[in-house]
Amino acid sequence: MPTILAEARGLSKDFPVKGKKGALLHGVSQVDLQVYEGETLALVGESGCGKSTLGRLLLGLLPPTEGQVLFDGQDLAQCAPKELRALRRQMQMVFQDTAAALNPRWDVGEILAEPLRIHKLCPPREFAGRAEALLERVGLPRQLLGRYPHELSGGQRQRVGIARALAVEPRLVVCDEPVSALDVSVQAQMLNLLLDLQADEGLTYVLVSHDLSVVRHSAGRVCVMFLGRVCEIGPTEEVFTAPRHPYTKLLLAAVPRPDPTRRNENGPPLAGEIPSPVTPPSGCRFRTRCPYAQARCAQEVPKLQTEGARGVACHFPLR
Amino acid sequence: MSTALGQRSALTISGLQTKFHTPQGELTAVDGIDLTVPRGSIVGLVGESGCGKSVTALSVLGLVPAGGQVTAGELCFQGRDLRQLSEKERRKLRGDRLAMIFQDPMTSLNPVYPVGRQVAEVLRLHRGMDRKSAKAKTIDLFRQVGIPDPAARYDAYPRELSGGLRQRVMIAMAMACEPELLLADEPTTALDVTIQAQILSLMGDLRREHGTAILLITHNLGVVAQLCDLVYVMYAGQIVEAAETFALFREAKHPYTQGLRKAIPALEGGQETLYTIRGTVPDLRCPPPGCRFCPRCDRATEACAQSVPPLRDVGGGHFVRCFQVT
Repeated sequence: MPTILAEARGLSKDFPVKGKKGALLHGVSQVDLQVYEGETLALVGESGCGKSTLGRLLLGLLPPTEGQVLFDGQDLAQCAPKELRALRRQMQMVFQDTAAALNPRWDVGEILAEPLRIHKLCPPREFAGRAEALLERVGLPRQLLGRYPHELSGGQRQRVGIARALAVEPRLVVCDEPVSALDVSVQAQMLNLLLDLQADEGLTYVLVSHDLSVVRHSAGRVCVMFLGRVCEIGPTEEVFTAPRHPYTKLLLAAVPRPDPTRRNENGPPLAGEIPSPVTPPSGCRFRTRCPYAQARCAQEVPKLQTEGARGVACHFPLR
Repeated sequence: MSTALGQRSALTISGLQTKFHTPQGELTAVDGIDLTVPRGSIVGLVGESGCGKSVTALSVLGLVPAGGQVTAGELCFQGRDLRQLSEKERRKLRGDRLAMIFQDPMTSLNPVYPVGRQVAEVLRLHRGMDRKSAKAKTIDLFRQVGIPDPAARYDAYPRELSGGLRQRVMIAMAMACEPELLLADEPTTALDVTIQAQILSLMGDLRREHGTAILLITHNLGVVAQLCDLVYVMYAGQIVEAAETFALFREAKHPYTQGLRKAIPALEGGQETLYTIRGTVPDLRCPPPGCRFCPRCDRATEACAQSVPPLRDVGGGHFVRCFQVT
């Protein structure tokens, strides 16, 4: 059994709604999840499904409303500030918006030195040398050290973002839509880089993505979310070839295949909109769009039932 | 794909060139594009950021942003060259015979007016309808594009609608006058995948039921494969490949198109390492003298670096701009 690096137990996060007293947006509800050392776990789903919020909760960047986050067996909420800082060194994040993630007033050298300074990983005179080595690891020339973010392309900025995350030699990296702002040809370079780095350093990734093709390519396990809850979890290949939750099946069917001989094979598209996370449907949150929904789905929240490596939260799972 | 098709085409672009003046010099964003949208067909224009696909659409509409200018070419729409029209005549066409939808409906809709009024305005302006019948027609359009509770949504403001609903409003607005041609620039890029499927199916209905021709600009090859009859692939301001969709996906011939296809991970899996196109897109202020893809191409020879290959028919209406393809 592989070791658990990070874990969510009964994790929920509600956000107050501006201008509506007492109203709560249910970002993440009652999530139990294990992230194993060395794996890539993808969190996938549509807008508002809570995948980014869950990623941030796992890093302790957001305080949970309910439940616990454990990293290496330690409850983040129980840690003293000093212990928390030591744990934080082991977890990093890579962001989608590369322009917003980097300080526009700092050059690349300063950006890469900051984590070294904060965590006192080396004396200041070694910053430049370390930064150079980091750039090399992400495939950038060291001439970029003196450049500012606006002078770099989107792909180069994302490489700097990855280099910054690697600076502290983390164990867990949460990548929040790391390639969705990039062109196809650059996206492929970035995915290859992330996989190479993982192979070299034994990193653990939590990949937050809406792109199912990227998930299939990069993640060994996938967790499909809908409106704050986990629908289905399991090895990516199994979940994609034989989905057990109706939402997973319909989500996969909605992806336009780059093959004109496979038009209309998936029937009419899934109807309806994503319900509001402020007033989610009772029972199963997917039931208002689910073609298989029955009376029980409105009354009872389906629990995540596990069977081997797979889990599904549905009263009437597909076989 | 020649001008002889002019009579049966909704739009024929020939030799379009659009330039921008930048502080660092002149930039040719679109450099001699020939493109035909046959009547009632859906044509895809694909390429990566900065290849000039959006500027092509804006050139057709006469909406090239400040600093830019269409410097050459012909834009034949309904037997007339759009470039020869006065601004007043163009304005009469836009929103009537020539409609458009953009990636971000939030910036295309006016935030301080209810969405219904904005659609009704199109009908009043171009069709001379009175307020009451324009409202009735708008609600009917909302129903056609699948907006739930259309009468109540008439008075909703853009911010009160989801991205998918806003895009439906834009499509309702584009459909209002049953246009001959719809220019759709990344219409589903900002949407979730299940909503994208709905909008794509709606665009298919629009063509089937009203015979509207669509020029669909996108970076997503999946969207193209599912919806388009013909595909044009753009790279660095030029068309590098054009073919029927089935032919292009059966056998992409240009090394750039081939590279793009191999760089996309498959939903079915099976790739170990993704193919990457080395290098970066050239600076269009000083493009390479020969083939623009030459510095990044695995198959480039000396000839490729010296002169620009012509876009030629390699059989069956499959056009490729490459010396290496026979």
